[in-house]
Amino acid sequence: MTIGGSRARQFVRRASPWFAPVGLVLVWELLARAGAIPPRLMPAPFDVVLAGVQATLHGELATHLAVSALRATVGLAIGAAIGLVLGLATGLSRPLQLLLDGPLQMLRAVPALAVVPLVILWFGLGETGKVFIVVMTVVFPVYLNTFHGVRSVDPHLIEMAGVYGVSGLSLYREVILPGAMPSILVGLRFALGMSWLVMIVAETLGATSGLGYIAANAREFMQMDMLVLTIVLWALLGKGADVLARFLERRLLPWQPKAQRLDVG
Amino acid sequence: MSRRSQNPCGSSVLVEGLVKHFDGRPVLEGIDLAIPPGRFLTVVGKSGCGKSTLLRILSNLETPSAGSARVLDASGADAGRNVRVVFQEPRLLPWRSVLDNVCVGIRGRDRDEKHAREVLASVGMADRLHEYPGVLSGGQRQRVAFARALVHEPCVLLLDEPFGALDALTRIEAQRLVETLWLERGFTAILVTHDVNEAVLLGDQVLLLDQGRIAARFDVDLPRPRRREHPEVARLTGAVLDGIFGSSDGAARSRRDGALGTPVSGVHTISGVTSASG
Repeated sequence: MTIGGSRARQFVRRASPWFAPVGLVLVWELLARAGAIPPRLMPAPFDVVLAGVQATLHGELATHLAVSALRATVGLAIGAAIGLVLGLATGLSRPLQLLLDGPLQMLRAVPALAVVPLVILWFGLGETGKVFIVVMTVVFPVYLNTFHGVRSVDPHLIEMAGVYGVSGLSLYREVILPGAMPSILVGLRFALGMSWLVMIVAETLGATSGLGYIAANAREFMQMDMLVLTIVLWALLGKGADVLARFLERRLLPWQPKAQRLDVG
Repeated sequence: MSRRSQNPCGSSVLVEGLVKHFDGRPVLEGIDLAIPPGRFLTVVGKSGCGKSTLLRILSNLETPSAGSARVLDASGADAGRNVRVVFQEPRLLPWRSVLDNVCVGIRGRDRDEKHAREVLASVGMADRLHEYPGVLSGGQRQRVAFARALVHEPCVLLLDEPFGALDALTRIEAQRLVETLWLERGFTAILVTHDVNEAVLLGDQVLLLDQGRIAARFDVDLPRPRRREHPEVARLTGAVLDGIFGSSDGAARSRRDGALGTPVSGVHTISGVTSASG
């Protein structure tokens, strides 16, 4: 095998995740140009890009994106922190598990979007309501996976730690938390994806800024290019969240055998 | 035995009238043991005979239902903190490098990396310091586990079937390693195993447990390193096996003893043991 050959293969491997999306866009563009897709129903990709450039130049798109990102980040941070603390608490203490797990499982079954009207009533259309909805959504995946992670730490390791004098706070820091970390990161990954999802939907229901607002506005005025643009941005942000989760995994779990990682690259 | 190092703290192990029940089910029923400093005791017996429980009590992982199991230093004071355990599984923290695993439980200023490296070198793992356990073989992981125990310079090393999960060749290698380390460092060693041959190869004395009691003791007074095919090793292995399969049936046992003519040389009844009841 030549070096050139392995390079080419490496290139194919790197590029292969892009084949499907790029191909789809090409086919879409061709069909739109050929007149097979009426622009009224679905604008051509190039028009969507144009709309994106225009919106960026006017400055509004970046602002709306930043507003959405801020809401999602704040909500995610608060929600993940709450989920982490609750998961650690119930994972480490049977009494707390008895006390909290039942109500949390009930709350988990409630779709965050079902409480949107209530949230608007409580907090109005301001920032608090949006963040609240994100928090409500991301608490549960982080909570459940943290709980599961703590409970599935190998009891043999905990016993070993005891024999070697690792106890108290060190036991949590050196054994239980790292042991639960793979599971916590799975929860965080879910939370990352869900936070965008729920927030943008929340924004379409009542907001004066943000990506969801653009989508709602575009729908109102039949700006199909803007509408598709928000959908594309949504997909890109989802991909971004995924990349972030994988980055965290590589940084926080360098010890994990490659086969166990989510990352295939 | 001239190559033997002195026990660093002259620790002896004293077990008196040790009883352990699990939910009313007796596991140990009155064990009396006195292990002088620097001795290598091996404990054998069928599954469920209580040998692992004995070791877990000595490791402070279980508490006795009655009686006591203590580690004493030369002056007779409690030296239980100088006991380290090697388990059947290496029990390494997967998220820590080999070096950091060896230093587990050693905090801040007490952490002596030079010493840890030396100990890792003594188990043949000097060149794998910064690797994660996930990339090591079973035998290598167990070597790291030995280093983790030895870095504390234990006076007493408890070994709970540490070779049990290793393949046959790795096992022989690991047995030799433990013997070498024991000869060099002079700790008191207690090895629990289900491999009778291993018990005879490594032990100064082989203790046979049956249904929570000491059924027999066999002194193994042979030069080290011992070879498996040595006739005396083979004979003692046979004698211990006879003890195991005869001891659950009193009649068969006495028949066998009779057939052997004289008691197997080296079989002692309790010697040098302080009895709890006096």
